[in-house]
Amino acid sequence: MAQIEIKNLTFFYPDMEKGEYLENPALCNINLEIHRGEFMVICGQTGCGKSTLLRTIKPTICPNGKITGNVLYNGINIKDLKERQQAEKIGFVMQNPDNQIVTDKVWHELAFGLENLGLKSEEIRQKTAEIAEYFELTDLYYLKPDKLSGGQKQLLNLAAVMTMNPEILLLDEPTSQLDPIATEKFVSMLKKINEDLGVTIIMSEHRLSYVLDMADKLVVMNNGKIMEWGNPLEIADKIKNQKISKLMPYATRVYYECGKKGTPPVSIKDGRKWLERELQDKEPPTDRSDRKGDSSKGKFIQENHKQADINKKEMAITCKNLWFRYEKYERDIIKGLYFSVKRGEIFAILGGNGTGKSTTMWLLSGVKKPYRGKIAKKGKVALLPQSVQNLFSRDKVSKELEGCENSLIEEMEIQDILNRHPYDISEGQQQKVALAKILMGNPDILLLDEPTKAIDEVYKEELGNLLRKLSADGKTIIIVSHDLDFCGEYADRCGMFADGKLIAVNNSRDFFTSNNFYTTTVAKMSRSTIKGAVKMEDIVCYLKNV
Amino acid sequence: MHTASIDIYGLMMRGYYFTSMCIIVISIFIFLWSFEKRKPKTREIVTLAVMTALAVVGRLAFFMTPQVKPCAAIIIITGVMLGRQSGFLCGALTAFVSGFFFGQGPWTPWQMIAFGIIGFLSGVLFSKKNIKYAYNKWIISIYGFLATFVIYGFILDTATVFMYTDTPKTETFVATYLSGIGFNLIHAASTFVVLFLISNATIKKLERLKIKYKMFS
Amino acid sequence: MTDEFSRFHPVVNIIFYMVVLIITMFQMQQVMVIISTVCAIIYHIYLKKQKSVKFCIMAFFIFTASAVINPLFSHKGATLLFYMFTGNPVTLESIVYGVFAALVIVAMIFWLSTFNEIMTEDKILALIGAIMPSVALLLTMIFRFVSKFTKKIKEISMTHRALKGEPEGFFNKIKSSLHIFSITITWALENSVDTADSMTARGYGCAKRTNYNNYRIEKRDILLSLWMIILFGVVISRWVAGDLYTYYYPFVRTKGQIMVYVAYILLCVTPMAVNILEGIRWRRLKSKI
Ligand SMILES: Nc1ncnc2c1ncn2[C@@H]1O[C@H](COP(=O)(O)OP(=O)(O)OP(=O)(O)O)[C@@H](O)[C@H]1O
Ligand SMILES: Nc1ncnc2c1ncn2[C@@H]1O[C@H](COP(=O)(O)OP(=O)(O)OP(=O)(O)O)[C@@H](O)[C@H]1O
Ligand SMILES: [Mg+2]
Ligand SMILES: [Mg+2]
Repeated sequence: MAQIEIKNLTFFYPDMEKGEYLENPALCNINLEIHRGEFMVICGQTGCGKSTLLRTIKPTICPNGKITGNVLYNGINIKDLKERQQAEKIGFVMQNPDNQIVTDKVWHELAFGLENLGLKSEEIRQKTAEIAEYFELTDLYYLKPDKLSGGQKQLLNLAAVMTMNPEILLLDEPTSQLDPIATEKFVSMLKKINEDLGVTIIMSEHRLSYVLDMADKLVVMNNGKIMEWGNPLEIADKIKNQKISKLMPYATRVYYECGKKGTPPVSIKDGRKWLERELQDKEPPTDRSDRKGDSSKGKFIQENHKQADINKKEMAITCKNLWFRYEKYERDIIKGLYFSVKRGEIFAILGGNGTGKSTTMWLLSGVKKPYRGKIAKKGKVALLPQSVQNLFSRDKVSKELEGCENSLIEEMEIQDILNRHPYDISEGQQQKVALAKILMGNPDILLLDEPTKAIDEVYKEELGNLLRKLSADGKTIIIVSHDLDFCGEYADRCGMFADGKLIAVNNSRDFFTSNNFYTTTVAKMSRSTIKGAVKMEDIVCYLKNV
Repeated sequence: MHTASIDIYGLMMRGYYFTSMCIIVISIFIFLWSFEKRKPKTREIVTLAVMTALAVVGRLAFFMTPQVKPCAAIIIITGVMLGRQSGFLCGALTAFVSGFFFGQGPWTPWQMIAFGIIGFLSGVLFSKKNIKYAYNKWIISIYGFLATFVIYGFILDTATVFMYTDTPKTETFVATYLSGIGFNLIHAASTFVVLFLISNATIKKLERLKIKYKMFS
Repeated sequence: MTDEFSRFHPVVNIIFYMVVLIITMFQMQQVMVIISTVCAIIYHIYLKKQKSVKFCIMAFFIFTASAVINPLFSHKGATLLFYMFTGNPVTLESIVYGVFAALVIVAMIFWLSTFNEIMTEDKILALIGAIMPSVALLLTMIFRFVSKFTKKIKEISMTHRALKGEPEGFFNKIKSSLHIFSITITWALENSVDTADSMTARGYGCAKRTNYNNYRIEKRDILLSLWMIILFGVVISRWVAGDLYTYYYPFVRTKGQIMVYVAYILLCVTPMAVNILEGIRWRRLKSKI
């Protein structure tokens, strides 16, 4: 018997204005089965109902709305389960690491669930100590949550749920706010929990590259419906020609882009093996050194043209020897930062958590002033902050976007949500609305602080194209991002932020080929076979020409 | 002249102070205890914590205009929307927690009771059947002005008299209140302004949560 | 922090502060007031080192400001010194009273400042939690939200300034502050829903909640508590028996006993003494190794 069985589930959100339910269901006729110990991944475009689906599996936190159909847990209706059992058996980790933390000490957070169940002090002491050890949180035991990085916070949330020893773990995009290294750590922890403890895991996720190789089942959702579910490899094959295939991991996408058939590679490792097999005893097409002249040899060349164009243009932003700290007696965050960006360029800043990337953006926007050094700017600057909710001050999306051109709204695909409250839309949609609001002022220099977090690959591509279009119109764009693949694809130049300054500023191809760890999936995959490949089309192009 | 039999304990001179402190401590305790016994629901306790924290840190939002302190306004809105008991707790805990960040002093208990009473009273005045008046921003702002000026000003000035002078006399009280008028007026005016400009929107936000999350039902 | 006293069980800490603050607040006998003030200042300097200097200066201003209040209003007392410009008499007794009332305030401020240092939020919560778990949880969450919102307000005001620029003039400043505050309110309320869900998801309210803390009572905690309670008992019993009193009017007259003074000094220096003894013990341990 399946551990969780979902039968004909339909869900309507309430309409706040009319006091009725919305016409379109957020979930429509869902049928699913999950077995004990399985690792299930749910994917789909933003706003397709992943969060809603996960929440219906845990009725105590199901949103207000009209629900029909059943969710069965070991054959009994999950609504008949006692609250206490629900708390013990089903754990839930949400997207935002900060909001889930209730108490103001790490140890207390770990103990919180056990306190609720009314356990004795001795028992709590033992369990929290054990969990802290397992999750490597012992050193942080007495800290305040504010002192933790995003990745540590999310691990703490996972640990706090695991103290209650649940049978099922529901995770709603748990890694969308984390940087690549923290994501890998989190996901490997999940794998350990799944394998060591046999906990059933159901998780929604945009970046399948990190998780798909350990998933037993994949669910693809679209518009509140389940499009496909089952074995990940089979599904990847089935949907390869649809728009939604962009959600698949890079290795898989490259594989199909090259026109291959059959079982695709999923992980980087498989992708590398496949490339090695493919390119065994084949001559490389043409040497890369003669990129300049001939224009028929793939797309690298066009890019170089763009770079050459840009080089002729004027400077949009120049920073000279910037120094900055937040308080007089604190450490310096920015220490001697030099860089310049030309008009029409897309410049990406990469780097670990807490190194000062966002701080740099504040400096560039002019809100914070460096205590030494100079910033020269040409044109109007607009900043998309890291937390886009900071921008929302009205109670309707349409009021938020007053005076915005219709074409922009349509381009962003947000026309359907204009009547909603900015907090009643999914995180990805919030990201879009915020970007539209920023673009409304028609700035010359766009500063985007992590514009790709919480959005899906399909929209990411649209965003990338939008950025290209804007840069072609002469707008300068500076992106801060943890999304290496996105930067590899769309940025003209990249720089690595470390120790308070930008190091290794270079055009993106050279930047990513010279990095070993901080590089795109494609570069990692093809390191041994194709020198200098950074983007998907590089591989496609290369394979066509061999 | 005092009779020696009472004065021996040294309490005569601190008698009013002693009695008032006892009353304050006991009444705060009673409210905390009744909250404890009522077993508050999750969303209620979270909302109360959010409102209290907002009252504590609110003044940071006004760093450009330090004369404006929004604590009393938030406490009043909490009293209106979450009821008198929560109103009292919000007020008392705002003062208590503020002490951790801006310094505890002998005046902390007095602030606790003063803000507590303001919150409690707004819960009583704008109870379920009168709640429609809370939507009128003139009414709620004037209430806020009076509450801050009269209740908060009166209680803290009284505390000054009890703490600093020997035997309270009418003359002393009058002089203290008069000297406090300027400060109290600014405080009351800032409560008025804040309530006038954000009370409606904030009440709507709380209403929204009630519908969206079936809160407090 | 290297303070040993703060490593005792929170119950011990709170007993100390309760007894000392009660005596300080209500005992106006001059020697007792001075003992309390001096001990409070010494302990404060020990705990806060250089930071204490600024505090002392501030306390001095509070002291002078509050010392003049009483003679301004109170004209009791037999020793007339002079007449104010208003025509009211100023007496020696009312000045003395004013000085000691102000000293009481100063002592309280110093004790409470060390209280803030010693009684961390954790300890307060452990104590309250033992009697009232829900209230303790409410307070825990308030503390968490306060630090979270503090950060958020700064962030929102930066975002706002990036979008709209720096406001000029008093009214624009108020307007923009209110705008920032109202964005914070929306953000705080909407995001608190996640917190509530996270609590429910982890079973809040489904059973009778217990309160967990990291503190355990040891023998030395009991001993120190007994020590403080006995000293308190000595002071109170003498006080009640009438061996410790003061009149300010019409003349200042005071009665006290060496025994009471000694007991009170011992009580007030307990935290310091604990620290010094611990220091000696360590040195001995080290020299043995
Ligand atoms: N409170 C609400 N009221 C009305 N509609 C809502 C509410 N919350 C979400 N929706 C809508 O329901 C749909 C599904 O939302 P859901 O949050 O489940 O999406 P999601 O797949 O989790 O998206 P994301 O990947 O961006 O997190 C979306 O179209 C969203 O706009
Ligand atoms: N308002 C502030 N006051 C004091 N310190 C701050 C403030 N904001 C950030 N910091 C500190 O500055 C450092 C850099 O922060 P910043 O937000 O710029 O990092 P980041 O590179 O953007 O990190 P992330 O990838 O997590 O967004 C961090 O150590 C942070 O703790
Ligand atoms: Mg979601
Ligand atoms: Mg950042």
